[in-house]
Amino acid sequence: MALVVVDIAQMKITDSSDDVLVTYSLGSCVGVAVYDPFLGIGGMIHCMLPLSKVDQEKAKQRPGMFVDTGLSLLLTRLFNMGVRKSRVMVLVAGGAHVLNNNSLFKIGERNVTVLRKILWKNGMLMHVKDVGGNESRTIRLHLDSQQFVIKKLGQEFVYDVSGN
Amino acid sequence: MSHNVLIVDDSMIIRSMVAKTLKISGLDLGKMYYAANGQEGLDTLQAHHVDIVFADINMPMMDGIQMVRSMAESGLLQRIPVVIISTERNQQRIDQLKAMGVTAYLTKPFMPEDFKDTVEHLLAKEDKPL
Amino acid sequence: MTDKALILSRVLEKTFEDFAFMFIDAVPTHALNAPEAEAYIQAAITYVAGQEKGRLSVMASAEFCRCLSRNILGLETEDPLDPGIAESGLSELINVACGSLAEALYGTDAVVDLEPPVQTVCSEREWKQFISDQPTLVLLVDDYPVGFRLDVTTNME
Repeated sequence: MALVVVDIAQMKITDSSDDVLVTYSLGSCVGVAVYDPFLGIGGMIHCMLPLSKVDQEKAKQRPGMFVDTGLSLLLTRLFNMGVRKSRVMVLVAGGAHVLNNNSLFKIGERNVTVLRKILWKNGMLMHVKDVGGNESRTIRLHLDSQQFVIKKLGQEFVYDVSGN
Repeated sequence: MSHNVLIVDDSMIIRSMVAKTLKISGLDLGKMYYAANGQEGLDTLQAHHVDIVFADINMPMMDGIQMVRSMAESGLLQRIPVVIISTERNQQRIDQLKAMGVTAYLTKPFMPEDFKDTVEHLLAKEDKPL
Repeated sequence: MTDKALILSRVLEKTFEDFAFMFIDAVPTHALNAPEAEAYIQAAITYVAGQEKGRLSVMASAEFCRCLSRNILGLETEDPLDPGIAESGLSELINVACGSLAEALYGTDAVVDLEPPVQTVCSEREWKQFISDQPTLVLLVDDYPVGFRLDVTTNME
């Protein structure tokens, strides 16, 4: 098993069946994993903010920071590798409320809204959606066992993404 | 086995939205019919074979409740499942719809994932392959 | 802001996000002096809730209505729209908002009857009058100024 860590504002794609994509500490950030069980290709992204218009220069340097640029780019790259919308699994977690800073209070919700918008534009549905609340989440996409795992509040929730 | 669907709503954009959601839900779709009110919906059901109806409640000329009542009286409701998609929030009214024979109810705005789950559940109950 | 106005603004915020993936922000003054639009559209819906009768209306530029409808349908900016879809988007927005507003104001035990929405094309003069009227709530939705108004009367009989 090879752990492939996706840091904040990053995205990674792998087709190695030994790999486990992981991203940690999703608070108001959203983590999206996209997996094609037929091709065995998986991608993951960890986005901080909903819209890139707040800093277009930064969005060019780090598109993964924003949901609109990051998720769009992740999907484009996956489609270019042959991933098909008709069989892909979309797995979403994060977008929690961060209560301590008023200006960030709605960021989690807005991240999820923009994420939903991008998916709807692409004609894609979420197969797993664990968003909102107050808790931080960590997500793993296991290409070896074809499972998606969400860890929150000390518990793990395991989802089969083999498409069977 | 493909399914013919009828979408009944006076809102053009909702008819388009329901159609798009059906197309991306992975269902085996046959023909898609559209109607802007309950009377047009009934006319379509008389003229074509339809497997599932999606209908709003508040429509001019004939609303969704009158349409469903008419379907019940003619026996159509026994063989064609109806999903109501509406802004109605009164729980008693929603329960009355289900007591009339409506299969499922979705509140506007609906999440496409909930729409897909509703239709899959409906088809599983009808023992029809997706 | 009155209680009803506060409830309305919260309902609208949620409606725009859930239905059209759009965000509401505070309105800077210059947005109210935005360049004249080609046309303005108003959509209004009336409801009866027991002794109360309400009318919820919205007015916005035709360009906003096209943007709104593209968002609702998940289309790109350059995608063509069928005739009538933009107006349909605004009407359905007010319909969905009114359903949520009815729940927020009266709960799920109350019986609230909604009429189908009615739409009209408006002039620049009517737009300026609408947004300057005291009861009108003007919101910036994805950078477009949009006016909302809720009129509620009580039957005292």
